[in-house]
Amino acid sequence: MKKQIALFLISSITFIAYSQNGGIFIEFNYNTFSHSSLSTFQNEFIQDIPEVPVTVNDDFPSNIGFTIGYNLNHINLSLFLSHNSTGGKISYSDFSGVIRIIESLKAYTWGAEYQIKLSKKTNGFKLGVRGFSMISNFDLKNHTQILDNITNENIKFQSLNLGVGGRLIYKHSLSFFIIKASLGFDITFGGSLRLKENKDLYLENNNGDNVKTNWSGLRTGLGIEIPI
Amino acid sequence: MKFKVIVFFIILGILTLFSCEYEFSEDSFTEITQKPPTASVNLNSLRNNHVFYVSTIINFNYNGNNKHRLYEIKIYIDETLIKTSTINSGDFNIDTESLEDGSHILKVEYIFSSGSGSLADVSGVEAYIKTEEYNFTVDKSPPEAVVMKSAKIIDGSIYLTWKPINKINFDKAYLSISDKGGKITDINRSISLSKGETLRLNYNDISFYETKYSQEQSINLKYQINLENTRGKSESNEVSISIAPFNIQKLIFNENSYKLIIPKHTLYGNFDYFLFKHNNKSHEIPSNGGEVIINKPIKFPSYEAGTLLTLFKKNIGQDTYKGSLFILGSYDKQFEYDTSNSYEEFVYNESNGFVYTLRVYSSCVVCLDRISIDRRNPEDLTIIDSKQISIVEDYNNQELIIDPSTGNLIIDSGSVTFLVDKNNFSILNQWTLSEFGEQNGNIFYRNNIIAIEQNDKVSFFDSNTKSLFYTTNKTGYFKISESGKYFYTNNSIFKLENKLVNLITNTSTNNSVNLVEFIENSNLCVYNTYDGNPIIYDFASQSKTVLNDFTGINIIDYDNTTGKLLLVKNDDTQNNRGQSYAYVYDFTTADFKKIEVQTLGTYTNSPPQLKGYWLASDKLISVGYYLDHYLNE
Repeated sequence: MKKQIALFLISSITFIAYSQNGGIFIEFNYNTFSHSSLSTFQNEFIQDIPEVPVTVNDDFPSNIGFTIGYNLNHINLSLFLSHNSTGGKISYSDFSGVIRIIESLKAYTWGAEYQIKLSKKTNGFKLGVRGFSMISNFDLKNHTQILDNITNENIKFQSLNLGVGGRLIYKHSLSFFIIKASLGFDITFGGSLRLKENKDLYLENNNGDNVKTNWSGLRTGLGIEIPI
Repeated sequence: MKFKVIVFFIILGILTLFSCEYEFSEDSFTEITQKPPTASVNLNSLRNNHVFYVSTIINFNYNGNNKHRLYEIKIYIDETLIKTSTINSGDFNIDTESLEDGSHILKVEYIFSSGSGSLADVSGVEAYIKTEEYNFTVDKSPPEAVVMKSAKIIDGSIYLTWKPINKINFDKAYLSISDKGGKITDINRSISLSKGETLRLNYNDISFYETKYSQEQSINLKYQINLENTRGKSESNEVSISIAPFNIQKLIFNENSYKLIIPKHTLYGNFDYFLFKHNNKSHEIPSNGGEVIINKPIKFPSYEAGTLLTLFKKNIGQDTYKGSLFILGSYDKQFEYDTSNSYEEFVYNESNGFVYTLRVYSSCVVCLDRISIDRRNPEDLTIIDSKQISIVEDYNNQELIIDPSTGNLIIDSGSVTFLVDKNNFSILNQWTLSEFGEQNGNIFYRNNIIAIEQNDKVSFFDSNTKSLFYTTNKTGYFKISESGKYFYTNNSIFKLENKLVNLITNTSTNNSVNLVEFIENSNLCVYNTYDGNPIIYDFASQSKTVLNDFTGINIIDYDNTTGKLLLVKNDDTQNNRGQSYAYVYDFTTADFKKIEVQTLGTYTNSPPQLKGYWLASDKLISVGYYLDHYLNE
């Protein structure tokens, strides 16, 4: 998958490099997610350790992401690459040791967005309609230390989501760059987590259902675009 | 150049941003306060400096107060592991056999969870190790002797007490019970006592002890406690207790019943009631005594061996059998007699208060007779002393009378008559027929007079000078009174006074007189014809009283103790033995009492006179038996 992303980046940069009417942009996003399946899966860990009061430290919350892309102004299309991350964590520790389970979740998104002008100005408000795919890496790390006895486990999973979304974009020219703000909503599909080492094996919860990533949620963004 | 810079920054930005990760929160941390452990191991019945005399099982019990989980208990004696346990309770053995005498250390080491609730605690890797030590001593000496304190009868049961036992180094304890004199061999047994019973220092013996002859002797029980262990045994001192003889009474109530009187038994607390069975009827008498009337035709002698009483403790359901008593005797009593001798007389001597018995032994019908005198206790006819007086010719009618003037004994023995000292049985004097020039007949000594009875005459001599002073023809029965003052012959009663003889009365009976009894103290004479009725002649009033209630009498005996007269009708035929009766007649009230008696075997039809029943010392006597109540009441 990294190869695919790298290929996508190289081809995009090459494409950008040779384009004559466009702009590179970079956005910082604040996004919300819907990882209820992962949250349930994490709580099942707590129930499995009744001897000590394990508490939830992180429950796949909203987080900051970023996007880079390139606008092809002559066809009102932009290509983008996003990165989002979140995570879950449960832990218990006292003087004698610690139990810590960390579920790190990172997603790489690439897609294209078609922008429709809502004002007669070159910039101003635009409506973006986009489609994308997401690669999610889910790292499950278990660290247990009781007195001098330490146990570490790390299991990696991966999932693939497809998604669509829409957003309202506002651009304002300022000097040699353009300030860009957006607000929208993405819906993702799929997302069953597979063991990275063996794609035939799915991660299941106690009910036997597949544990899935679900990145659906609000998307906000603030960035700059440099015309090239 | 500008483009390259832009591309460089783009790639650098991408790589930087793509390396960003979600930043996780800090670990949760729980502050835990460690408290001192509260777990303990309790060794029941073990205290520090305990002394073990015998191998002992010690129970242990771990208490974690619902907080500390037990991982392991290890028990050491002198650093040698003897027990390992992972469960909360169990036991181990202090094996004194394998330990030397002296001091030892018992160490209890137990490992248990901290109970802190920490991750290590719940994971089972955080624990306390606690060690406790007990000093103890092994003493393998033999058990010390118990010191018995007392044996007492309280509320009808036997209670034993003994002093505290200092060393509990015994495995077994026995209470040994036996009769002290060893005469009652059935009482010799041993009761096992538990350690608890032994240490209670008292014991209630609820057994019932029966004797072979309950009415004759006390039971002298001795109690002893014996302790044993593997090294030896000890015997305590003895304590003893006497259980009084147990006597029942059977008193004749009337001719067809008697009253059974059972007293309170010494051990009345150990059972609830006596059971007496007669004719398939059961009678219950409480253990503290009682009376019951038993319907049964009365006969003397009863020849009953004794009375069987069984004893029971009341229980819900079936009563518990506690023992039995066989009590010899009946309403009459037995006394000592010699079955090889024939008994001719039982007579009470007023002068010294003894009963004298004349008995004769003859090895064959025509052999010489050995005549002996017994002196007996007037209360129970036990023999005080005996002496063979003489060996004489065979004679069928030996007589023993008391000389009224001296109380010495006169034995009329056919051809010889003896005057015998009442105390030492020495022969004071004796007279034979030959001394008076006679060859046959019977000679009688009375108060310095010798009477010689022959077939056709009776002669009277002075016993000192041997001179004849009176003689008369004789027909029929002859009898001379004890004082020699009266005699009967020729169907007449004569008075002999100062060697002068006077006719008192003619008996004038239709049939010949077979029995005459002179009652000189009362100036009376009773004579009897077998087919007629006895007649009382009063010397003072010269009157005759016919006793019409009696007939067929062939025994008459007067008891000078009570002044009453015994009359016996013995109904015996060769083929048909009927009912025989004894009557005791009271001269004062002119009343009498009657009792059926065993018929004497005579082998002749209607014998004129018999021997076999006597009235002496207020008792109706038959050989070997006497009756001391009812007839004399």
